[in-house]
Amino acid sequence: MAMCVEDRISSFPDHILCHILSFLPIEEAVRTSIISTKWRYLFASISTIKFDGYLISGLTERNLDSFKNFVDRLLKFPDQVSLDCFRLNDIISWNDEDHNFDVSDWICAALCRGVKEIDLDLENLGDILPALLFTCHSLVTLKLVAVGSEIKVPSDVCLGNLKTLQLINSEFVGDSIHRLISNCHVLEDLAFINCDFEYLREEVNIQSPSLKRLVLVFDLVEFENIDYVVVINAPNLVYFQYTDTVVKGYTLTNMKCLEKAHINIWESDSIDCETSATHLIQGLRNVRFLSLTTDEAIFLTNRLPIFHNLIEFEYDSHGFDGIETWLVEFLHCAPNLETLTLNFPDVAGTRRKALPIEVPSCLSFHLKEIEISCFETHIIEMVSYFLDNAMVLENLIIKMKGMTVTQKTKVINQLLQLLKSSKKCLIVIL
Amino acid sequence: MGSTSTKIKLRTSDQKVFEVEKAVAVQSQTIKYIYENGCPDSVIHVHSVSGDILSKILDYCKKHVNSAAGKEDISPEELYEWDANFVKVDQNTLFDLILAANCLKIESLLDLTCQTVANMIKGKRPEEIRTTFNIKNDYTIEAEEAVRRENKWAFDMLGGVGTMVIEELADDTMSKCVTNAKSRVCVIAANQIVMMRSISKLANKKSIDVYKQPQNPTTPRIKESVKQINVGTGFIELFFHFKCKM
Repeated sequence: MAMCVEDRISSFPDHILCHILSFLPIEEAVRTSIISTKWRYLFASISTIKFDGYLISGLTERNLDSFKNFVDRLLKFPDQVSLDCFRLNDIISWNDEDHNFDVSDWICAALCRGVKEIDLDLENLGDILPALLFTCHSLVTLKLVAVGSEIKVPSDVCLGNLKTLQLINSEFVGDSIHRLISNCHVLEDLAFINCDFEYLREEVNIQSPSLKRLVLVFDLVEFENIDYVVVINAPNLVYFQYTDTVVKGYTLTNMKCLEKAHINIWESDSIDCETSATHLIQGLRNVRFLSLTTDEAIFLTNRLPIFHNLIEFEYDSHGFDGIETWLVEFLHCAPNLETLTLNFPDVAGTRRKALPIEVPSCLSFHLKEIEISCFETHIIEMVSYFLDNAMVLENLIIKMKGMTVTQKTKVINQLLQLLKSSKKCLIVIL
Repeated sequence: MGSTSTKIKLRTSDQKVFEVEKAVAVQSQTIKYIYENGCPDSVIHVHSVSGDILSKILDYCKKHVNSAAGKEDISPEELYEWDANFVKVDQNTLFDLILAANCLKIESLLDLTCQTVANMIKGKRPEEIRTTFNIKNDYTIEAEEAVRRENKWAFDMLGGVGTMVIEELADDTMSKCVTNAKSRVCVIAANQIVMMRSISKLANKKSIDVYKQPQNPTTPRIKESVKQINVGTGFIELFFHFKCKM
């Protein structure tokens, strides 16, 4: 890159230089202090403080005191501007005898500086989280990965400005989680990923009038108990992601604004699995974009709601008996569907039922684009059905992964032979 | 009504006038504020930005607005690449863009341009940074020593002893990391398989002692003179011990 003739960068306003430094690993930001006298104390005003494993493991015994001293000065200097972000992640052995960092103290110092975002990913996090964290008024974003330890939520929890809360791999006892959510009055973005709700009595209850995005991911292996209900009362929800085995029951109050949902559910052994799953899907009836992954014909198709707003549907499955018929029955419930994406490989031994004669109305009037993400020869019948009945189809996209050239040519020839009802239809093979 | 194609006029420091769609112009919080709090029909003066720079900035804003609105069929990866190309300019222009993005309050552009400058600083020794930006070192010897002492830990990490933990890196990334690392000790994570090729490439560049990270993080690290270890137990598999000059 052609250089400037003069030193322009040193004349930038301090806050811009600090902004540049915030993109560097902290040790490099600190080293800029030696560039020239102008740069000596710039690093001290950075608004994003990130310590990661690379940094910590790069410290030798001789330098630990120098580092601890640095952190104290950085965090606690009285005239400091408010902090934007404090992040600690991937730090192994931060609390062994070698290092013995007072992380709890660091977090408190960051909170006292009015930090807006805290992002912590540490072992034994639950043991060192200060109670002060849960009553912090400056906090807008909180991300915690407790690596299996318990996060204790104090009874006076109040996070009045918290908009984003992300909890991964953390354990909660009793009603601490309900207490936490109900005391975040402007919460917009909530994610629980692989968390463990120990001693969960009856329900996972999420009540939040401000909530716009909700992600619930449960790891089947970790959490054996499915004898609970999921209650969601979030009338302004725009995005919902749910990954779980189907549990005992679902109560989803009307989500009028729901734009997008990603649902990935497995069948459970309970007798009422189908009813329960159907309740779940009924709660999502206003959705516009739905991505569904199931391993069985998990819904009672005669009790599916009509998805009036659904314009894009993506379906993934490992395949089961009669999947094609099930799919067409589902399409009957999506009268305005415009885009359909399918991904189901052939499972040896699945039986195919004849496709229903009555054609779903979306095929006749609205469906413009179909994508088959992983084409295998068994889908040809389904493709033929679509081409035959989709009157306004514009694009049929077929992705063939892992097929030999001969196989592909054979399939392409077969496809070209098929009758197309829509004159505009273009077949794209990738 | 025509509200979807409302245009805003902008006049630059060198008297050039640009007429742009409102949606594009209000990417700048400064312009947005002036537009919403002033007379919408008059021309907005953008005093500290030249025509050339504003033109580039408007390209950026347009691309991002169109991509967000779905008007342009561009994937996030493609947009990322477009951004990367956008900042491939000479230093003067880059700095002009930073100052303009700051003045016009376009957050994403400010982040992009500042990140670009950060990338020009990253991994360099102080002398190299000074050369890149033509900065004069105005420290006295004593003052410079004092600065080094103030934050000894950071300066020791540069070309000194230290450990680096490699986790789940692809071959070429790892070899790049090791090449760039000033540290002499390299701890390889338990499940990392180190490919012979990447190590031998570095063989004539660095002196690296290889330590095996034990499964239990509390046991001390063991230095391995490596041949072939325990295939399939999750420990690393190295084919030979290499040694070279640092």
